[in-house]
Amino acid sequence: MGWQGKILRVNLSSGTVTPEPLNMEWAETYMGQRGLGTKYLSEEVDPTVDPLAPENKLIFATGPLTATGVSTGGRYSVITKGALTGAIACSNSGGQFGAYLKLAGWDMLILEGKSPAPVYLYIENDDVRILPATDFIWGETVWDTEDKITAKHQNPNIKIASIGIAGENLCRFACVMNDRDRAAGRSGVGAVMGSKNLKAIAAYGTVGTTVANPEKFKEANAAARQKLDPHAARTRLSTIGTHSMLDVTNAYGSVPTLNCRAVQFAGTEHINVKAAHTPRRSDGHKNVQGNKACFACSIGCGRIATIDPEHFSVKDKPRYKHSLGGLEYESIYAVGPMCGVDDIDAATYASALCNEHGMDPISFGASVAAAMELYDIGAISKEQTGGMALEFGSAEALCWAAEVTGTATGFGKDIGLGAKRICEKYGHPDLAMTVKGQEFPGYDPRAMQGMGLAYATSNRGACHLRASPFVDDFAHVRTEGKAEIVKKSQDRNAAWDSTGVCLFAGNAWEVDDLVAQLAGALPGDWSVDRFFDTGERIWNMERMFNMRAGFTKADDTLPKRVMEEPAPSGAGKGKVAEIGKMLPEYYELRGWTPDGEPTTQTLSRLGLS
Amino acid sequence: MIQVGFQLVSIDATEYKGLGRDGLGEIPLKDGGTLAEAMAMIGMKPELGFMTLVNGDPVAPENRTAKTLNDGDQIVVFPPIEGG
Repeated sequence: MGWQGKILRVNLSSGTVTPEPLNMEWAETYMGQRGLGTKYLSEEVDPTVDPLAPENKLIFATGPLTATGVSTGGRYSVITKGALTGAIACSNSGGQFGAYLKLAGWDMLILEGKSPAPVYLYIENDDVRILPATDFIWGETVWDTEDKITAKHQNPNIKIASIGIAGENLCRFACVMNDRDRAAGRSGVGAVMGSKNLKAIAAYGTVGTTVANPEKFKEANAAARQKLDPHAARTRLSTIGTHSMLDVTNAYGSVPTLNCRAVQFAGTEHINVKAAHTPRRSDGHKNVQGNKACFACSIGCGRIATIDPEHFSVKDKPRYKHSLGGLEYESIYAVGPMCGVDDIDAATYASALCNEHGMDPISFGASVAAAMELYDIGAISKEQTGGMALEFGSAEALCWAAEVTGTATGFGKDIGLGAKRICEKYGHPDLAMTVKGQEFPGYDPRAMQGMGLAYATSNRGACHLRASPFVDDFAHVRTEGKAEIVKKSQDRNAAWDSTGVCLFAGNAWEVDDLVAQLAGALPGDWSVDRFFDTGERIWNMERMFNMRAGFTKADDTLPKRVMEEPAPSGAGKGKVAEIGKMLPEYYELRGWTPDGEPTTQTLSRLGLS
Repeated sequence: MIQVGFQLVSIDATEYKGLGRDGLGEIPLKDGGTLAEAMAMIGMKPELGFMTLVNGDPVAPENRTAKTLNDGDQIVVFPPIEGG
């Protein structure tokens, strides 16, 4: 009922596979996915472990609403100690894979140790096998890996999560990819998978799912659909996608540009939604071909795109002349304005290579932008890049960077270190636009002060999904009131990410709508208060993991640039990110000491003592 | 009378009056007219929760009835969009 009640423990060192009952006490306390996966990790892994050591574990966790029929309920998360950050990592993905893992009868996979040789995991209900990947899929791209596994097992409905060449080579921002272009993208979870010599997990399931109270669930589910489907936000995400955010942040003056030297991008009109929907001269087609949806999703925010067949990036490369995963806001921000590139085909190509090789496009773009600034100030030269002029605005350099980073070739190995490490390596750590080692998403914290606080306090490093200060940030460039908005939305999102449902459904649903569906699916009493309490518990548990890993108040900060260099234009013109004004109130609201440590009373209240 | 400019960002302009399909246009407004009145003139209902800038500065929903506009002011309107 909601949960399957079973987890699968896979020891890659010994090659053993062991089914276990799900700890139901923990399930009721942490729900699933992000919360439950983090609970297991916190109990089983020493937070001081090297993220790439066999002692780190990699957990694939579904939520109690995954594959139950709730709209957008096909999510899973990958939880581990992040290779990029050294902090708790939890990366959430859609597509079909998570649902099929749950339909195979498993709430969660716990992957331990390190295989002596490359392998992949095959799951068909209770039939679970560790199979060799050498001379089969090791060294292959994500796309070819999916095609080869599907062909070998003669099952077109098998769903696959895998790493690309970037993950095999321990690129610090490697993703776990599934369904070709869906990603558990952030914090380097793909590098941890690569460190275990695990190339892929293939899942197919026919077990199905059940809910505790079918009538109650059905009623809540229907009501939620009636609210979501006609909602303006759903229509907007379906028709113009998250890409539409670019015009908004550019107008507002909060799109990180040229490694945060600027906050508005003059080339926006060449890479925005309108450009993506304008027919090309060469073949008459538009960049955007249509949209697509993940499992059980009635939104369909995913883009399908093509690259201009005459564009330099795909010349003599028929592989990229078909439909590909298209640009989302975060990918276009990172490979567009952040790098100063206004070429939509180059951006689409670079984004496609991130999917193909399994890299987080946010971290990739922001790391390239950092390298471009290092090149701009002379800290690196063509000697390091192997002859490439790594200049801001160069579409050629962007496409080259995607190729060499994705394949861990030459200077691509340096880019694959991530912005923090590459800036440290070349003597300019202040040029890394990162928090806790993770690169900025597409919101500059000078105009959006709440987002600045959200970045600084995020348990997985800079992130736009850990809190939701958007609406207030777009109405007020101020620090007042942000601490409460950030704290409350962090708790909300932590709980939401533990259900198996996409955060985007929250554009139409209130928490009540989701809780009503949880209450139908799960045993026991579920209320909005319990939902928020669960989120707060998860947030504090993540914080405690990080503290045990060595993080302190000093890590709840932002790059020097955004705290000292005023925004040159836009709504935040003349302002800097004022973390110091918001952090004390935030700590107090959280029930933490002035040093950012949860008090014993707070931990006791949340059952974390 | 004064003239104020509109730019609708990521909003289907065909649903509103007096603007081009590209979401750009100018509308006449009485002297001393407010942002709320200008939005009402093109058919924007306050409950839709749109976000607004006047000459680049954000104006929160609760301040629109008090925000007096001047001739030549430029208004940008965008949806209450989240995530990305």
